[in-house]
Amino acid sequence: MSNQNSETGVSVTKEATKKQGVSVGVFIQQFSPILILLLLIIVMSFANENFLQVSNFINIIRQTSILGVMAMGMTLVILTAGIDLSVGSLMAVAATSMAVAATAGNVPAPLAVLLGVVCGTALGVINGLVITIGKIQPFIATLGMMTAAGGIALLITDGMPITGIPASMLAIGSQHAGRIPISVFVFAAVALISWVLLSKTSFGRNIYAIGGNSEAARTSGIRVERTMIVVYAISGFFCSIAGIVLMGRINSANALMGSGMELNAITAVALGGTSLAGGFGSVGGTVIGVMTIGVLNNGLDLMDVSAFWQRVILGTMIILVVILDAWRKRKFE
Amino acid sequence: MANYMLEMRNIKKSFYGTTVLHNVNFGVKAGEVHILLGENGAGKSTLMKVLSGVHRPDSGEIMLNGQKCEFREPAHSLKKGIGMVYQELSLAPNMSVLENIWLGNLPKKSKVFVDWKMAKRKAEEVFEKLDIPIDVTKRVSKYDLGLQQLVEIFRVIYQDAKLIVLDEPTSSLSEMEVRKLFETINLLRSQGVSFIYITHKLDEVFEIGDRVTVLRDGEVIGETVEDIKQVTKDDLIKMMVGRDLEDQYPKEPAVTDDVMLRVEHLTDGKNFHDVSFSIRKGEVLGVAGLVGAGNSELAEAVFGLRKIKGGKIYLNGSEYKVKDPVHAINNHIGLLTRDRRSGLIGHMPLYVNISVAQRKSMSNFGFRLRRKERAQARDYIEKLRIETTSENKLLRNLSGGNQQKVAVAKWICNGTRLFVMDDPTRGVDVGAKVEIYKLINSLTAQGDSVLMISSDMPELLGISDNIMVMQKGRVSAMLSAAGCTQEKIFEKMAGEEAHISS
Repeated sequence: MSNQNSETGVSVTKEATKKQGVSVGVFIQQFSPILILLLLIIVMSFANENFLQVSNFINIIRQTSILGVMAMGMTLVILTAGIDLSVGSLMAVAATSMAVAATAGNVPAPLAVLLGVVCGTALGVINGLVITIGKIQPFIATLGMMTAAGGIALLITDGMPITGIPASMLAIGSQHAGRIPISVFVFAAVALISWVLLSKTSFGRNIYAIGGNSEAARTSGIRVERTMIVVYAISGFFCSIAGIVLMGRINSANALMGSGMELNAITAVALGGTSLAGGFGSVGGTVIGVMTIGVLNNGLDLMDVSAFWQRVILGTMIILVVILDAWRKRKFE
Repeated sequence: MANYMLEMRNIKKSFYGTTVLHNVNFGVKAGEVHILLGENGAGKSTLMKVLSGVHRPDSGEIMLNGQKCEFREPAHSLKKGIGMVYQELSLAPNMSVLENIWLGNLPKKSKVFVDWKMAKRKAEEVFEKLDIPIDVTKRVSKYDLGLQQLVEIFRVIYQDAKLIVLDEPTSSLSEMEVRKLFETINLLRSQGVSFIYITHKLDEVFEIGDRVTVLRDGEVIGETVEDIKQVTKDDLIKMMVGRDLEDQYPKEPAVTDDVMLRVEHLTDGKNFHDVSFSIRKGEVLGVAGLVGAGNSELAEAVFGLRKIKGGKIYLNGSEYKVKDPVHAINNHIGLLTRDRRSGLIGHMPLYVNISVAQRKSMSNFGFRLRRKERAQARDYIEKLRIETTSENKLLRNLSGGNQQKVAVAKWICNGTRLFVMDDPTRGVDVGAKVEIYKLINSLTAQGDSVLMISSDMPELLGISDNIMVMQKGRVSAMLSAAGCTQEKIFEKMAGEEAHISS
């Protein structure tokens, strides 16, 4: 999955195998994300007999679908050699604004949802404008947006959780289609759209080009600024979608609902083998990264490992993955 | 044998089954400049990487001053007195010249505190001796590439290197800076320091070299030439390429009477001023100038990478307002950048690099036509004889000459009529140069025009129809290439400075 999605991924494998024969190092390099995930699944299934059951896997996907939707936007952003720290706050702004509009404002549900999505996407566009026109590093620009949008969400809600949201707006995050939660379909759809964008369109190719070498992209006639703005807008859009799902899950909306999500999303992308330096990575990788986090949390829950320890373990994994990324770069670039 | 300070015996190295060095024997005497020649891919850099400890040889030994050595890593070989200066600079741009020179090696007082006074005095001494105008306390990025290169060399020298490897040191230097570099080399050589000097510029070989070794396909061709005066340039080319190059500059004039581009009083307010010229269809207009003459900036401005403050450009008779690269591409202008890394996307496959600048024809409602992209790439691989295993090969894994062919293909396939080329054969080996010249011929034969900026004088004379010389941002002469000489161009390039160096 990870290699067929990525422009650069494909050719690295082909090149590497041609030059070096089938080398173990290359194999590990190319497939390390899925190897880590498989290893984790094996360990977890030995540790707990309830782990390896269909219902539990549906549960894992349901638990990770919100993170997955956000991580797709993050994948696009990181591929351009950027970062979006504001995803959690944008999600909160989108969810709280649609919740307030529908409850206090009596706006019809579809319009309220539209309003929330427009808000989240617009803040994404602002991220893009600040980064490209303002020429501010993505880290700083989105750090500012994280704080400011967090404040906006608090202003919208006055610091209180919003309840009494119309059931139609909560359906996406709370209803099932047969055995499968709707949120899983949302994640699948967002992943599919991202995959098509990245591997089938010129826009996707431009993202890879900008991430690896923005100067060369510019001299090749790629509109670098425009592409970046669209990428950050997509990230904002996906955050809004994730906000709708989470709102349904927790049956309310509040200003802090997305806090900490940005780091999880970045972790998922990194675990999926996408280079934080940009230009290399894939949607499939991020799906694996998201699943890795889900399996880890779920398995550790089943093993009764405390939430505090789970943080320690996840943090350690982040560092290990970045070390892996650095090693990959040294070895293969 | 005993008079070699460094001897590499029967060095063999292979990567994943491909032998890159076959039993290479190579010796360097104390106080000599040993030229290492070879086309790209001949094994020069691998040999140097074996020497510096980046690679371990599969077999063979390295003797340093009669003692067997095994270098584990570059820091180790540096400690033993072998310093490397690569083409890509490794300076810390935000630190001062002084700090850069002593980086990692600052002189100390009572073992703890940095002895800045002594560091400064010693650094200034050398620059003064060579009459190089540089303030060692200023940031190194303030100086142009040429001076930076010299700083890089001094850094190695200050680490007490007895043998210095220079990998194409003059590729970014102006004529003047080359003089300074050669003076430095001569001075150090007289003090017993040895150099391994890698270059593609054959004129330099005779000017600075003592002995020459030619590598081809990982083997030493013949033996090291003990006396450089016994060989000619043609001999060396023959050794490098393995065949006679009938003509290094196969120019086929194709100039027509129609004007393609007319530039009037163009200025960017900073790097070039009041530049006027015109290029006819089928013409190659060469642009000569020292580093800082503004010719690269002019190229960027025509392509829309730089803001223009005044002047007008006419393209095919109607006014052309410079906007951005996209606008330039839509008007059939293409730029081959000076640094291939800023024009080509190294981490993406060859075929993507060819089709990336086609704004419309390779997509359908935004969806890529990958099969068409690949087919087109295969077509150009064959037509331009690009050496590659497939169109999927990552661009950065191609040799310099082949990368440049990809760059040309990229612009041909989207209907470019005006090719702006900034040093198109920089870092390209002799054989590939000729192929690029032939490519330029085929462009002009179709009525396309080429604006060719070059630091290579024989190339300017051999390939251009006319030559525009720039000096400090202004056009100092317009010469017809026929009947022009290097001396004449140099005089116009350097202006009054010419008298000092010649």
